[in-house]
Amino acid sequence: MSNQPVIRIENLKKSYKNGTEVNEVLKGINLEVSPGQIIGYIGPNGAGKSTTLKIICGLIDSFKGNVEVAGFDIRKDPTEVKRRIGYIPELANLYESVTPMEYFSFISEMRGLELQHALDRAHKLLSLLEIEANANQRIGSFSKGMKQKVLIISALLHNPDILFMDEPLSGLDANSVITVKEIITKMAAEGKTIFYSSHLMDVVEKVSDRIILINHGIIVADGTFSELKGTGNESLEKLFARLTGNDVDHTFEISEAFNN
Amino acid sequence: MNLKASSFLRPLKYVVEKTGANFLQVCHLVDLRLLLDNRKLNPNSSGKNKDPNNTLVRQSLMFVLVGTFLPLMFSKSNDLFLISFSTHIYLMVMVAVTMMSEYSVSLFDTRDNNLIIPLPVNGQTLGWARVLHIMIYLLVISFSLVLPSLVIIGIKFGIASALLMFAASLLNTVFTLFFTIFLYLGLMKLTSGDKLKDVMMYIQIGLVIFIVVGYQLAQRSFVTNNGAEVFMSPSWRFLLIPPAWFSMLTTLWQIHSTVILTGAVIAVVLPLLAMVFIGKKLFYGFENTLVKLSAGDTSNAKGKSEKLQRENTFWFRFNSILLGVSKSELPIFRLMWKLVGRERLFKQSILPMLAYMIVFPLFLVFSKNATGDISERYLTFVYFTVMTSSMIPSVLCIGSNVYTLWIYQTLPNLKPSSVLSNAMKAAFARFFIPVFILMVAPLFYFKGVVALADIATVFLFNYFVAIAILYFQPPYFPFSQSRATSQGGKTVLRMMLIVILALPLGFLHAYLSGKNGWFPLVLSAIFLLVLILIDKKWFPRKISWKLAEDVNKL
Repeated sequence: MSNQPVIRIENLKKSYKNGTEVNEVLKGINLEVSPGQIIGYIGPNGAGKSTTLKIICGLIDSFKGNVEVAGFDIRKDPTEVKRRIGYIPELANLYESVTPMEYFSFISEMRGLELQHALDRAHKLLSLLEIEANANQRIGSFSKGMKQKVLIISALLHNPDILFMDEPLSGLDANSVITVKEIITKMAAEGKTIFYSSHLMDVVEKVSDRIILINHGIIVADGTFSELKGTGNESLEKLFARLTGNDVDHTFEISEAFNN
Repeated sequence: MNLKASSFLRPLKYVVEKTGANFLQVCHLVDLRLLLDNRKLNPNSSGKNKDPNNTLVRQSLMFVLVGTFLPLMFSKSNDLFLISFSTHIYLMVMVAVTMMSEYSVSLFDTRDNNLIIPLPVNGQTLGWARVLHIMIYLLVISFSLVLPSLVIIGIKFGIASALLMFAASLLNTVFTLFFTIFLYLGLMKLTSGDKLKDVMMYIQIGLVIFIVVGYQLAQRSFVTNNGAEVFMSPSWRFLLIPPAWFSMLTTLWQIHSTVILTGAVIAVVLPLLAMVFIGKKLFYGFENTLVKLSAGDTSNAKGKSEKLQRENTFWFRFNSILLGVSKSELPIFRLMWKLVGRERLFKQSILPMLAYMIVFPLFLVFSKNATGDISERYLTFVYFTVMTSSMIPSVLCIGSNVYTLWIYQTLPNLKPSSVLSNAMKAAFARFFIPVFILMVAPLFYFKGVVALADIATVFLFNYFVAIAILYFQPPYFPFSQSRATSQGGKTVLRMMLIVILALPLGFLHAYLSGKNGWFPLVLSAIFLLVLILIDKKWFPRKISWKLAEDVNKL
């Protein structure tokens, strides 16, 4: 396994214009990720997690700085990057009138996979995530969690080297959370890189071998969980609250709000 | 529109409250809908935010333009009843068709169910809010349509007649709107759930055909043409046709008869009664209707499995070759083939257009006043198909699959133009081509084998127009946009422009055909060349992922 970083981000900046107002979402992210690492990318709402993931995956092409994935510049060789990555978005926007198998068939063909092989793989994953019975039903009839499972499977069909997940566990039942955690761990053992953002601190704490905390568009902490907590005995949740400046007691305000 | 609903809806307060609705809540809900309409970005001009008020003004101007044709048609007539009857019948058709094709979706929009249904709002309030929101737009459209007629009537017959015409037009719009809603809601009492939307779709198509045919027949049956003058003599039998009531109200100042007075009374009373009846009886439980519809949206094929079919029939392969789908694009073409056949909102829009495509021009071909050779007239009729093909690119955007752009963005080696053009090709193949073949078949009977040249030319013209419109419109991804209330007027303008473009080409075609039956193939070659250039060169160059992202962002 090469020790060359599979993800290299240099001074990544991104801002959105709204009339005359400029909202700077990312203010200079620097990051290197080695193969086989499981990165837990955490931060409060609006910190810039999804934007970072979208830029790395080629969904946003106007940004400042450099982003390299698997040795390819996302601006110059987006196709090569997309061949090697899998992406699970935060929102399950899928065509409601197609079935999972029809969708997987389309994705496989577009990725140039051997169709039967890819569909066999899809069946196995459907079975693992306990939705095989729904394989040929229209996605429109699915719950949020079932749609999320379809997204997860479609990102795994081509067995990507790097998997980007934006809140992959949202809406999943407890059994599926365990399965996805097992898939993540197994993929990492095979040398694949997992980069996922989540709000579920207990999962991040247990699965990730490196945690990156982003707040207001900059990285405020980067290391293993034990490195981050230092000599203290804080949970990741407490650590998160402290580093994002939200470790004050809100009991009084909450009580005030409800009394009023 | 930056007006507060409570100010201009105040005249309706009594009627609204009489039906059990909460007027204040109705106003808040209408305000919210108007605010959302205002917040819609205009994606033209590289994603710059434009003032949506301009869109409504532009839309209204287009309808004024369309409305100008009406008084021009009857410029020689001095019969106020005839002029107003034609205007009212036209207004009724336009309001009903616009309501069905563009605003019925707004009436039964279930996307904000999760936000609105949990609030303490009763069915009458919800129903009124939806209807009044639509009514505001329809009244603006109606006023724009009849404005030229109002001016002509004012000049020819006096201010009083013009004012009566104005009032009658408002009442006509309200009546037509509530009549259409009556049909929809009545239907909902009979069926529900998943079936409802399908039934609604086919009823809508049937209604559109009925209205268009009725419009043609009504004019033919009641107009007297004695050679020197065209006129109408209102009698008791006129009371059977709704547009006549409003014409009677318009002519109340001029003609003093019991028939006219009866019609005028009906014109005033019936819209008000319709409002009260629908508000009281049919809006009751409207919130449950929306919940049912929402269930209909998602219960699609629940428990029903569909066998995975990899479309590869002869018809599929034939069309992929005919429409120039490359091997690498086949998976997208295949996906779009499935989607165009399943997306309900899309089918709801395209099927009435196919109905128009056949029904409407037939009146021109087989009209008793038509002149010229039947085969030439039939060729003109076939050229009318361009009205449908020109609409395909815009109706393809309609659907509830928001922000599916990411699916394509994450796939390697794919251009956004490929998705858009293959969706258009799939729609063309599954809907337009079968009807087109049916329509052009008689040309062989009229002209023999040489008809092939005509058919190829007209087909390539249709395809060229569709590809060209796709090139010029914002790159909305297939089935991703709601039928925005601000888009209405563009449709009419586009149809007019297409007719203007088609006319000289049609004449050129006829001229070439007159010289030699095969000569139109020269035109075919030109169309083919240009459309290949657009489809394979210019379009992929024009549409970047950045532009697609800007236009399709949530």
